[in-house]
Amino acid sequence: MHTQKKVFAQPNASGIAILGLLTAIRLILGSSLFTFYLVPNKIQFSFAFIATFLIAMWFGPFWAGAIAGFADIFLTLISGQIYFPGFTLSAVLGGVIFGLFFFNHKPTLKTIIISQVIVVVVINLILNTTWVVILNHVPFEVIFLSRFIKEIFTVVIQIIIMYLISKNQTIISLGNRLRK
Amino acid sequence: MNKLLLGRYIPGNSIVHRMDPASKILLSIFFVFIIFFANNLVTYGLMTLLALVSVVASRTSLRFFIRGIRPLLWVIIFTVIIQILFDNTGHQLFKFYFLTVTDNGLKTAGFIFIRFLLIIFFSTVLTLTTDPLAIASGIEKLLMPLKKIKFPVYTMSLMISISLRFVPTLMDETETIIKAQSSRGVKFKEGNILARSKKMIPILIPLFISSFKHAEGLGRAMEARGYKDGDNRSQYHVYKASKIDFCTWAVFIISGILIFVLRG
Repeated sequence: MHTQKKVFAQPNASGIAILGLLTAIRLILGSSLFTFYLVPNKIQFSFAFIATFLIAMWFGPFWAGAIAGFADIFLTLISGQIYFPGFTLSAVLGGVIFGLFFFNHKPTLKTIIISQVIVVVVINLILNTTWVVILNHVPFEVIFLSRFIKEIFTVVIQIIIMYLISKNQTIISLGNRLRK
Repeated sequence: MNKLLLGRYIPGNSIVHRMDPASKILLSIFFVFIIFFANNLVTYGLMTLLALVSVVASRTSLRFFIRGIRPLLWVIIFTVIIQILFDNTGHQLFKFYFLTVTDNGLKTAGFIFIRFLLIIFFSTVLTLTTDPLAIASGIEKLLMPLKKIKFPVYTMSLMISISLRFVPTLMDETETIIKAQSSRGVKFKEGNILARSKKMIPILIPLFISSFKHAEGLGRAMEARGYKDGDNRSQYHVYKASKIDFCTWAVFIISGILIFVLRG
């Protein structure tokens, strides 16, 4: 149906339609309707990474980054939260990292763990903490500690879910349909 | 339209409602940018005036703006407390073991509190006066300059349109899947976060299958109608910058210059 082997390849009509629908799922999963709270009203957990992971696996780093960037801007603006371009950069980089790890490569527990650790350390802990420091004018160490504790919980959940999704037979067959 | 696509938009005909969405998005970013340079009473006063004029011009009730603060209340309180406790410059006002409160700490905390409120107020003006579909259209317009570096703007734009068209359909399907799973005895709100997260997989898999079915049909329809990638596409709603946009930009640019001149 659709071949997507090159990193910057332009998808055909079916590919664009699938990307559009995956973007819709990314928006739904990233919205407040699908947000769990680890600590009520304080620490959030979103399932948006699942859609980004699949886009990265099937369409590569370019589209994973572009869609993650769009979703970040769109969801922030429609919810009336504070928009800061730094978080968009983080979202784009997150998609790109997943794309570099999983596009044209079979996800294994090892690659899932490595990619998640990179995303957590480089993006969630270093970059996002820097954006919070710039935005809120608070000491890096104080924010870093609270974010570090949150990330320990979320990274484990994300690794387990990504692994379960990547081993799911239906997801594997959907991926094979894309490569035909 | 469902809850996600309705966002917090309130239909109206104020001058802010009539502005070009791309212009409003850029203004929001510009407002966040210039407020970082405010550092005294005069500059914060100017920014407050700018935000209040925007709120009044949007002709929406103040309670929507106050409601906008609620989700970020904890972040604001946390930031203000951290600021009071960790900024130890200036004259000491109070000391309790290792915690010191100074006049500078209080002043900075006050400014940061105001900064938060103003940014939330201004972001809320955009959210309340701009239909989410218009926001998406504004984002597409802002992506146009990327064409020069061969970014597939039209493909991205089409993809955004498809995604927004299918959000309500997929949301309805998600609800049906959740109800079907619940009737089989799955309790989504029970268990720890890991158990609850695992329960999401039986919702997501049928959702992906269904989205592939929609995509296949749509892809075939697009090809049958002669879709050619990279072509410029027409839009149902065309937003254009008007005199209101130019005047607003002039006011904001002058305010930005004043902030740079008047900052301490």
